[in-house]
Amino acid sequence: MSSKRLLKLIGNIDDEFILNATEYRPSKVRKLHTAVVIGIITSVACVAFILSSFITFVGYARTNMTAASKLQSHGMKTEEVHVLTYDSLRIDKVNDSSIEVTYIIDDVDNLNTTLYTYNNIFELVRDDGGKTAHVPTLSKPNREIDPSETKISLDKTENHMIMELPDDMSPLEPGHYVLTGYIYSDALQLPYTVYAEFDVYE
Amino acid sequence: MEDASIIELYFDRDEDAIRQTDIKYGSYCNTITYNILHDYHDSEECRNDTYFKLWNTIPPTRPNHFKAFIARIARNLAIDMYDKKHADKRGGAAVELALDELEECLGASSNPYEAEDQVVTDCLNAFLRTLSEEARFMFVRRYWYMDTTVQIAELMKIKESKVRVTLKRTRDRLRSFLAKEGIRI
Repeated sequence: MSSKRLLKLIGNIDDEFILNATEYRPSKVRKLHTAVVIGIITSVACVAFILSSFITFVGYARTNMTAASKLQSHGMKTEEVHVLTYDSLRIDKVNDSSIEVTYIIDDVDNLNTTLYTYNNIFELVRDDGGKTAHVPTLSKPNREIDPSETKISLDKTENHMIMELPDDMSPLEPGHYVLTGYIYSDALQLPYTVYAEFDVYE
Repeated sequence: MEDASIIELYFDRDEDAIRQTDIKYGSYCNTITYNILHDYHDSEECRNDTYFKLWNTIPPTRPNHFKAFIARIARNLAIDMYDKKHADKRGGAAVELALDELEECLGASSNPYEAEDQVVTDCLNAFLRTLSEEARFMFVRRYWYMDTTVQIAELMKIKESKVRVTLKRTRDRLRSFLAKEGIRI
């Protein structure tokens, strides 16, 4: 006997097998299996997304908690905290007793509100952690700032400001510094943070 | 037209039965016969032989599954025609490839006697019931409809390599199954 006989006898198999093979229809089990696999993949993706969102949120919250606590320490109530993504703080010049900076407002949403900074809420930190100081805003291009004035309104686009260095930090010693600004939107009732880094060389 | 109505036409000896059969199952028949013969002229001839045999078989036979009944006749006639045409030569045709593959399933039994056709058929039916739906579909398409592995892959929307591997495993299982049942073919 040979494979030819087997081939012919395969021709005698039950009708159901012949009819069922005219069209391929994945079984319910297979469909279920596929659905389960898709479900698992979707679930894993969702969990990953949630985790990444959570991690981002934690980082976001930590950053803004700093802003909130700084503002609260100056008597402000902060219900919500926000980090400006587009706004930036640019260091223009580092003098012996002051730092000249420009706060650039890029956030379009903020153009409909008034932003403020608070005198001496800008904070200068030396990278090695050796020294930290509040640096009061002394002046803007259009006017001098009264030392007793705490609430300083900012322009819509660019704000050139001069920050006074505290006696124990002026002139700045060589090193890496981070200047953090805490900005507040009255209309939105939102605090913001901006920061810039710079180096002082010998 | 419903299958039952076509069968009634055969019983009434109405020649429209052939026309209706051709309308409904002509291309199905052609697919089966062409897969085996790979020749349009021979396929056409085989299809006509199928109708002729149907005419002579119904009545008295009243098939439960008319479609499968036609397909079986068409396949058997096509294989017979193939045998006649290839009595003295072996080529690379689909049937030869299928035969080569099915060789793997033979010879595992220690039984010195060949099993009866019906016994083997029953065993094949039992074997097919043990297979997954996917493997069964591939096996029937390959060795009943004589589809190529490429055609099966297209039907199932899967890779051809998967079809080949699954068929190989199925043939191995069939070999073991036949041996276990003491079937010598």
